[in-house]
Amino acid sequence: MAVREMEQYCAEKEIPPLDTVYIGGGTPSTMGGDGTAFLMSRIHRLFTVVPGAETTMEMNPCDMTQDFLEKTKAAGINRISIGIQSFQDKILKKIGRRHTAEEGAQAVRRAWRAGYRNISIDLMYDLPGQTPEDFQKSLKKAVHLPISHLSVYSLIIEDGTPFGRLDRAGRLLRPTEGDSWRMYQTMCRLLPHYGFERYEISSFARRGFQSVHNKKYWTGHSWLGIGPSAVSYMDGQRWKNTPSLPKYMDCLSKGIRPQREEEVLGITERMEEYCFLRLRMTEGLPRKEFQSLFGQAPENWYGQQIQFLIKNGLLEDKENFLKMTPKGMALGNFVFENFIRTES
Amino acid sequence: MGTDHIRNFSIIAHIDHGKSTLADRLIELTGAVQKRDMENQLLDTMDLERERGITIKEQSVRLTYRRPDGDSYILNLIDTPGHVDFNYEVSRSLSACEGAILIVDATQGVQAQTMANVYLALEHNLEIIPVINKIDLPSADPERVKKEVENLIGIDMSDAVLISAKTGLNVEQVLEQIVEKIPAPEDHTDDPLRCLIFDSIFDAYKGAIAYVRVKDGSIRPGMEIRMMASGKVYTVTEVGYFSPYMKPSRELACGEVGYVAASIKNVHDCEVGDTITAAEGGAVKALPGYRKALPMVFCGLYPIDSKDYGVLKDALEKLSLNDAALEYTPETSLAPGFGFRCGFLGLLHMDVVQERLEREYNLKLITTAPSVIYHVYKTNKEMTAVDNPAALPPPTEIEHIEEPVVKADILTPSDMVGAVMELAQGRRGTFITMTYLDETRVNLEYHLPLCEIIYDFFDKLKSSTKGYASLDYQMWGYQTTDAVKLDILLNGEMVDALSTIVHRSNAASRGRALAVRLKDIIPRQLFEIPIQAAVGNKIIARESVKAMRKDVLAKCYGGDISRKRKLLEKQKEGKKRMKQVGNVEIPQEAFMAILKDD
Repeated sequence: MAVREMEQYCAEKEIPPLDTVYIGGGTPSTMGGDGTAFLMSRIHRLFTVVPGAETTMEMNPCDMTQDFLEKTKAAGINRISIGIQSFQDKILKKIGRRHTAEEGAQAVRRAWRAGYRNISIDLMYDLPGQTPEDFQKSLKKAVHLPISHLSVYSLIIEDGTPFGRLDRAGRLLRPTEGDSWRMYQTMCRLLPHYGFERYEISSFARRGFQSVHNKKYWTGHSWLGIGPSAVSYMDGQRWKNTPSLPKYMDCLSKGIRPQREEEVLGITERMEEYCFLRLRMTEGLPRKEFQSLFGQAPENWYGQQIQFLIKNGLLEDKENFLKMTPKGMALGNFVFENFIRTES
Repeated sequence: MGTDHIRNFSIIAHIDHGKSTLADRLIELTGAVQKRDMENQLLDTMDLERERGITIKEQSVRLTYRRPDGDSYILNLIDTPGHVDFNYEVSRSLSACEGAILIVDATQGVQAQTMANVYLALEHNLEIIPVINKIDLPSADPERVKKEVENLIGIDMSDAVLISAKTGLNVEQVLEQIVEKIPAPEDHTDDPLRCLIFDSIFDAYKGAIAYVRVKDGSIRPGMEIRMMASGKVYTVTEVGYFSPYMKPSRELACGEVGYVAASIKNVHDCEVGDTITAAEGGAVKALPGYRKALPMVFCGLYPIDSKDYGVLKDALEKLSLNDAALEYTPETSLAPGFGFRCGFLGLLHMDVVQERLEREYNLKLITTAPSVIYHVYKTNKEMTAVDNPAALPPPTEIEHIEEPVVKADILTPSDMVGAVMELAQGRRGTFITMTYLDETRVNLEYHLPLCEIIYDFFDKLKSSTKGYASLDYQMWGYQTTDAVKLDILLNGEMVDALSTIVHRSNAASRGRALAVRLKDIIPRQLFEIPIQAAVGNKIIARESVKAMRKDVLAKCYGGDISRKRKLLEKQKEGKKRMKQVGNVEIPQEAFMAILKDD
């Protein structure tokens, strides 16, 4: 059905050449090696894919057999992102992961042996029951594996999820504020020490291995999302597909777009998003680009806010870039909020 | 027609003993309302009343009862508010009656309010018809309850009717006893007009409408009348009775209960307890017992969103059209800004008004700590009444302060007497007497400062007696006290809406508790915020909100951007609703922190 949706887009409009491909969301690795090969062949048939394009696939350690890895490699996947989350069995169990710490590590090594040279893993902190020592062990384990990229982020508990309910009932043993802070600091110190430079709030990479694809999200590029719940962004328009699989299939079989929500972003919204996404990256916000996109210097829109943030040591002005200081990085949401202008 | 076939009565009961249910059954049995039109608890017309099982506004209904021998009687049931806040209103309703049905729950027995109401009824020389309700429940023990009532109140219980208002069992016997035992109103048809106002409501078309009992003479549309307390003169536009909805009639005769409309602008011009007489050739002496409705508890009400100030003002204006006891004056504070200082009869009244403002006018409010009225005697021999901590004169100008004290009756199981006494002593109570109802239950009488009662006495009483104790109180008088103003400073700046007047002996513990609660409520900001509790220049407690180091750090890929921006917008919106004092942002909950104790 995803193929049907791609066909739909191609029939509708001219899609520019793709310089990155990302197969993710949920666990696409369950479709197996042959499934991946089929999907890749269709992508190449329908779109123009730039030679050497970063082609990432999200994988679950349990699916990463040698056969699967070889087949995906052969199909053109050149980067993989593994949802490891932790290298501690007690924590993996608590957050409902099927794999063990050892299986996670084995999966990484197997991928390396299968020829993958751009391997990213996800790790989490602020998990229930996790101590700073636990997290430090996970980080150390990770940096000694043959990986080139890490996405590290804290658990965000939302209402309506099983964790949210447990938390409300006071039954989640969440790390204290002090422990959470220690985990964050460990991450900031330990990863660069082992050669993983932070290039975005939650992304760390060895030199030359930053995710080309993810950076597109933070720099305002266009992308096309295929599948239920997938989000696309093009020319200031953002739309999201229906999350319901039956509805998704139904639309496509009738030849209609399976779209559910659409946002047309005005100049203000685009500017806000540009700021809070651009600032996520350590590189920061290039004044010149801002000026060329929005016609005026950032100070003309956000003079007071920028001044306030600089005064409080959260933002710095460096060589035509506005960037967050380490203190600002830790207080990301607080900084971003200053760039919101619209009333909700 | 004379008054022999009229009976005027009230029902008195502790909360939840079945007052409204019995009223419903009586209405149903006499056919005043068809069964299919019955809404449960017909007389409690406000949603709030029905939900809480309490009566706030008085209601009346006229029932026509045909005895088995064929004689018809007019029975006027006057429903009374069942809460101590409204004691004065209850007393006015009772003076409109000749008798009262006393309901006691067969499972719970006598409660504090039962006693208070019985005493009130006896003060008005009412004939009391005891009724034991809920006898259908397995845990009912009517014999024990009868004994309890006899021991405690001294009413003869041999004729007590055993009923179940819920199932309707024996309810017709209650009707028979009303006719048999309650005396008919005295016939003063030929005397100059005197009507007792026992309640009033506001109607958008007819103006304020007085609920009256005609004591002497009779009243008809077209008559010129005079309110004896205010001296104001009006022309009657309509009279009628309650069926239970208002039904116009040609006149209200002596002994009858009904309503009078006379284009009266608002309820403040037809005060409960006042006497209506004829403008010319009227009575010389008003009916006894009138007093102005005086608020006892005050607090500040502020709209959370300062844009709602106008809405709040209108809402208070409208509510006070119908609520003579509600007082309000504009008040400004550093934070939370523009609002009103409001006076209430008591905590329930305050709660009810607040809830109506929030529900009926969709307002979100900040309430400051309730305060009583302190009598502050100054060194220059002047006395000022202070109901607002901000208005307390500096200590150097104060000679001494007096605070209101109530006489409280606490009914408790005898094995919990220790806990209750400990609580009452801890709240600066003075023990008066202790009476045993039977082997298992005790009535404790205390003099307690009213400010302790409005702080948390009732909640604490309930929790220290597993909910068994009940409380009733009435004003007793003023007494010298060592009161001080407890201030809260955030980052060195005083937040006036967080100030309270407390007894010196409580200052340290209240200050500490408040500082700790504020520490949990005030979100971390870019810098550390000291929280100080102070009496005068002396800091008595200190806490601090640590500086914020880390704000949620989630990943943010293509599919997350939309949600992320909504989150940031919401976050910003939340900040906007905070009140700024100096450079500290204070959330609304902080102002509520003062209302609770852990």
